[in-house]
Amino acid sequence: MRIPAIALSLLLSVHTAAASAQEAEGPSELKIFFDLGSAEVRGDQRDALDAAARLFRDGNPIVMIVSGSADTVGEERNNLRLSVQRAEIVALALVDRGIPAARLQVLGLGNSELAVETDDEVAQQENRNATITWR
Amino acid sequence: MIRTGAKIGASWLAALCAMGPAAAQDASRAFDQGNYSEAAQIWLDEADAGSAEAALRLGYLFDLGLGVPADRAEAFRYYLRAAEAGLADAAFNLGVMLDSGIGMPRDVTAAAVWYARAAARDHVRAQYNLGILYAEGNGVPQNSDLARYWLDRVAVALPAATDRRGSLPPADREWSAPMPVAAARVERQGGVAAELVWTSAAGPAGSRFEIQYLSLDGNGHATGPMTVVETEGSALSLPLDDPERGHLWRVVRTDPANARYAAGPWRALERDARAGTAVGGQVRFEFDSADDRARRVAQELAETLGAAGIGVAISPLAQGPERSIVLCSFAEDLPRAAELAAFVPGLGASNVRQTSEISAHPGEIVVRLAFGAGSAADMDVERADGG
Repeated sequence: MRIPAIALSLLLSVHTAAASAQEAEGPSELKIFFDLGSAEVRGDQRDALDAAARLFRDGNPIVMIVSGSADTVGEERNNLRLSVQRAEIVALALVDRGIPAARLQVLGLGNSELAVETDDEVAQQENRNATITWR
Repeated sequence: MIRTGAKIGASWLAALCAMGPAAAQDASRAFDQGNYSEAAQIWLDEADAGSAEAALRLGYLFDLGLGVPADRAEAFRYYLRAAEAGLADAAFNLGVMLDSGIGMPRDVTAAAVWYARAAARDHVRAQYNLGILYAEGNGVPQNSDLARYWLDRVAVALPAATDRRGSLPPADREWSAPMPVAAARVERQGGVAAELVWTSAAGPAGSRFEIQYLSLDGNGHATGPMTVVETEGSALSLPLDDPERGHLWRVVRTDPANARYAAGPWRALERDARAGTAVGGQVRFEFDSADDRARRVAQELAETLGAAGIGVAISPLAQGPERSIVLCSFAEDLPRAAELAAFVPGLGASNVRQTSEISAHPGEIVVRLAFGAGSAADMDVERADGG
């Protein structure tokens, strides 16, 4: 099953709405971390995926948003592609856990919204992630 | 519980007749078109009239703040109403909210109960989540057997279950009785089902659960033999053949290899007084179908036992036993078998035996009666004497 990456402009509005609707109860996001240059889900990230699946309630139109990021090592264009791959692989792992694909929005952020601001060519674990939020 | 259910059922029906299917369609259309306030209003009316489906939909609306102010606690209340009526999706969402502390304080033990109720109705994600809770020992005792059971059930639908199953820790086995944690009556496919949930640490390899239940009349008298269902899981949805009656149930861990069992307590399915002081368990009478005295003794004892809330099965046989004796399959049942023997004419505690030859259930005692030819006449004389 392939989950289409959705255009950045479309998702930015969704992203903003999600942030404002979030209430101060339960975790508001979960992060899956990746190795440098990799879009493979590490074994030690499985519990975080299960935790995310356990937060997702049934019922249209509850939506889960998966946004991938990359650190600044390498070309920006490649990092955008890598961030999309990370988001897609996490979305697939959520589908494997029973989250309906139609309820997932996948977004590649590249280097545009770094968790930790760095210069170019800095390997930073915190920035190599797929972040799962919901609304 | 029964009375409430019947009342809701009747008023729901009345509401449906009054509104017709058009209202439900209007609400769905309004929802699909993004007219959430309109959908909310229709579903509020329907929910007030007792519709569980409408309550579930309202749960979604309050959960997300669509057409109504976002209110997770209110969403929780609507999900609860729908879940209590037996909607697995609502039970699952309650589980998720309790699991993650959304709308209610986090309570994984309660989450596990709602996951289990949805899992009993084959809700795939509930089965997966319940499997994970048993794998982790989170909100339930750690039990790799139960984790494997629930993950296996969803292995086809959810590929992640297979991965998870492959990394379960070895079961930490102990000998203990399962604990009943929830029981409810719900509407199911035009009938009524019992949703039963229990929990347990891992037992000896090869041991299983046996769910036993008894039907009771308004006086708490057992009205027939015990029904027995075997499973390796920790929740079941059982259709009730006699929903008008009360029911008593328990879960027993059986260890056939060692002829032993560990039983949880008998519990009433309905929250009213029908179960009374019912004892539970079962006595099976076996006798030659031509042995009239044995039949009468069995029937008289059956009445007394039934009144005590003990299930009774009466089995006339084409080839009856040669002599009277009281038997059970498990050592745990010997004391009750001895008590029972004292009430059978001509028998005493010395006529009690534990044997693997009969396949009696845990808590079941088999009374073989043989009074022989001519006994019917004796009985008549005794009756005449008694006047």
